[in-house]
Amino acid sequence: MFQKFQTKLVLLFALLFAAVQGVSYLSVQNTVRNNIFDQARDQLTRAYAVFEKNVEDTTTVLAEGSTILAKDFGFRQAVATNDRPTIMSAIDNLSTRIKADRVILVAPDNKIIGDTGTASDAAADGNIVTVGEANAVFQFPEMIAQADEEGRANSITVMDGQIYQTVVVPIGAPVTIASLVIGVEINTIYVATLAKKFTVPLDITFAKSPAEGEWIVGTSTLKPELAAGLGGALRTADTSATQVAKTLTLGGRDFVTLIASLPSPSSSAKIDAAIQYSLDASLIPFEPLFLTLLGLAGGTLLLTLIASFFIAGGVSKPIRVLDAAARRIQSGDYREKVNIDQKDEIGRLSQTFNQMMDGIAQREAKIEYQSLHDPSTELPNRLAFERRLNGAIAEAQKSNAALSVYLVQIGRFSEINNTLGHDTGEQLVAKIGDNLQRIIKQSDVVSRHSSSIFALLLPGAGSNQVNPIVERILDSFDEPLSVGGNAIDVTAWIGEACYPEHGITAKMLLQRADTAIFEAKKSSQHYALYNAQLDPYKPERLSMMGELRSGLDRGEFRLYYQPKIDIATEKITAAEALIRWIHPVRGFMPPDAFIPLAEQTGNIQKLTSWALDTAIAQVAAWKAKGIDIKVAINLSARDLSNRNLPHEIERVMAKHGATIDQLILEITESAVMEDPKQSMEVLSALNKMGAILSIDDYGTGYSSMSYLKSLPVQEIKIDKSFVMKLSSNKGDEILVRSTIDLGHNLGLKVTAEGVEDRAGLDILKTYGCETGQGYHISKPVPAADFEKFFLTSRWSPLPQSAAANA
Amino acid sequence: MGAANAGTILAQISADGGGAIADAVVYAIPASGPASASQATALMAQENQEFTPFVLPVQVGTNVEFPNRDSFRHHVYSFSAAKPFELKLFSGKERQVVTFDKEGIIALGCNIHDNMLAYIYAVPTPYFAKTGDDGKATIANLGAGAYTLKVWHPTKKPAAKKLS
Ligand SMILES: [Cu+2]
Repeated sequence: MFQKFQTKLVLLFALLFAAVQGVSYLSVQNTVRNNIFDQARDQLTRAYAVFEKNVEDTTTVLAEGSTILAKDFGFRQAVATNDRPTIMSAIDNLSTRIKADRVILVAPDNKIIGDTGTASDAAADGNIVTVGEANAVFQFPEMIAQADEEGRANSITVMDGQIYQTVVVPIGAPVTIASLVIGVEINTIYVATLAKKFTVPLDITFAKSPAEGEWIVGTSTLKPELAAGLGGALRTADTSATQVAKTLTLGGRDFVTLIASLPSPSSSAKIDAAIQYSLDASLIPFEPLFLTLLGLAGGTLLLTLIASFFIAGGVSKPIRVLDAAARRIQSGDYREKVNIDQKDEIGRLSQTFNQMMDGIAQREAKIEYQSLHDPSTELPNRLAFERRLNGAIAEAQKSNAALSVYLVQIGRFSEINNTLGHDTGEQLVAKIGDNLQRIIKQSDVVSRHSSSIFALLLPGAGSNQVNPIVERILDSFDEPLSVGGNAIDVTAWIGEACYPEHGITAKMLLQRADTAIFEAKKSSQHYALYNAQLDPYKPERLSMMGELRSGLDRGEFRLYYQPKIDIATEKITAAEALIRWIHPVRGFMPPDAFIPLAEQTGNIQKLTSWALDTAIAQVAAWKAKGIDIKVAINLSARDLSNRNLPHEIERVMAKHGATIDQLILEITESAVMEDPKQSMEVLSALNKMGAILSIDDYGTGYSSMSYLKSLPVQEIKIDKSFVMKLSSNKGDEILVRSTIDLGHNLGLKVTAEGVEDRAGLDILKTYGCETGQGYHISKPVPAADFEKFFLTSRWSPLPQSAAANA
Repeated sequence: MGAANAGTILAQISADGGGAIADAVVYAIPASGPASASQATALMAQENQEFTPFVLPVQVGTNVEFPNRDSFRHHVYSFSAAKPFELKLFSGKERQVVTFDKEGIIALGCNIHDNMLAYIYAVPTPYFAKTGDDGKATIANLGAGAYTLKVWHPTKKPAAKKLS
């Protein structure tokens, strides 16, 4: 609950304030107590003076009254003549007149002549004077002597356990013949009367000490239970310093106490008077003041709490506003600005917050633009296109509309990059992008899909009708494009896929359009609409992968061999082993239908192992029969990342008794490029072993000839797409020739694939191409057919007689 | 006490500390037995609110006159067992005589003036004397015979007088 800043602040204020109030309250109370103590001390001193005066006055009254009797001639005569009845009646009369509680007549030898007895005796006797015991002795002879000497003695004494204010006067006849002892008992009436003479309410207590350190409370105005406590307090209190005010606690209440030792005969018990001022009682008049103080403190504390609540709120509110703004920023909402209209630090902080929001919003917009656009063409990139496509699909779904996705691929883009430089390549792409944008409508979308592919999104055209835009796009490539002073001839292919006919997701549509490009490349129109019949990636084909594994086990796979001839001699030197799958249900399966899928599903290694084993076994068997040729086996990208491949080949060779020089390993550029580092390792190992490495499908990939130099290969294989129309297409002729020259310059042998006619073979021979392969020689055939072909065909390296014999 | 010559006793009375004691009564009692009562007279005057003399030794049977020489009243009394009496005296107008017929000390006071104090010492012999300020006293005219010599002096002096 103390988490909130506001609460903390309010509590802090409240604590501080309460502390200040408490200290001031205690200080006021202390001051008041001190004042009362000082006051009490003064009052007690005054009260003690009053008490002394009272004793003196009483003494005077007693002395004067008794002196009158002592001087009475008749009384003296009675004493002198021992007229006891007269003496006693005179004494009785005196005690009544001067309100004495006790009168004793003492002979000069201290023997008591007569005694009225204690007050209680008197009460019992009906106040009739009794004669003291014979031989009873007055216990304070020094008082008698002092009275004889000075005419009067007075003291506070204890007689028969009672405290008396005592006066002694001599009876002179004219020499002292007896002494009158007059006592006033210090009883409750005495102390009550005395207390009335004090100007403030005080308590007075008389206590006697019959023995050292023992105090017995005699008479007191205190309540009995408090008075009893005073005896104990006197016992423990230091009463040596008399007439000094000190605080004694009786019954839990504080009394400022003045203790006075009273004059008493040395033979008497010591007597102290304690005058007390109740601090608690005297604090009662101050109670309204304390209550007022407490009330004020409470009230101001409440006000402080309220005020601090609002002050803290004023401080914490902008913090809460900023906190909320920070949370909005975190969630990506930069629209709502912080609005704190303050001129202080918090106001400036809120301004900084707003600037920060703007900055973040701008940077985020920039990053988003960059993430969705191709920097060279400023066109949307693949990600942006897929988003737009998804959006368009969602809308089309609602309105039952159709969509068309076109992929436009630029031919030989990597070569252009390699020969003219990357910058020129990008300028070319930008120019093509501009052209495409001009061609399509503003509402249509064109994006750069990959380095050499543009993607277009158009509303669906009528069925079975090629959108005229396709024609316009292809036309735009008719003329060479002028970039950086170069006129560049660019070929393009367009693949189209339609929503919802060919796919209902962006991914599927793009994949299908890509497949269509593949078809377009085959067609002369440079354009193809997706055709499910031709799609190797059709989903039902995926189920074949399970069958592929079992097919391997069941021997459904075969190797077909296509002869390779030495163009110069026109004799067979090698055969390329090509995998065929004779599916029990589907029949003959072309490699394109399952090789890519086998690569994707990780089955290619099995397939490769099987192919290596079969082909090497075959070539070893053939050699034994005198058919001395090499065998070429295709390796996939996955094979090139298999470190064990060289060992496996060695093992298989050993197993079948074949030698490494009988083996050619064909790899595609794209396979090498998938993991160049790992491929390089495997290739180097194979090269060390002495295997001949050949780059397959050369010309369709992206890598430059100079890159090939770094590979440990001995041969390139020109893709059949260049060779097939060699005799009819001048451009291909130039390309093939330059490729062959380049290969030779790099010390590589060159094989031409797709030799379909004699003319092509002749041209290749002119160019010095080493090896030829193609339908003009032979299509791929089973091993037995190949064997026969090797022995009997005109391409047989055997002497005609041997061939004829076979 | 000094040595007694035939017929005369010279006494010197001094306190233990050596100071002379005045107003001490020295008297000699013949072994032959008490003398016959005296017919003599003596004076105990009241003058200036004082008795004079302070100490008056007399032989038993002596008549003592109490003349008041002051202009105001005195009320002379004695509560002593040897001779209790009471005289209300007015200046010069009355002549009061008291016969001290018993041996003993008689303390005299005045009921009007508390300070007034005097002693009459009645002795059973005509041979007595009172010391002066020098503490000396002389008893003369002693007949031949054995005597018992006694001394007395008052312990209490009169209080300072208050003159009215
Ligand atoms: Cu007198």
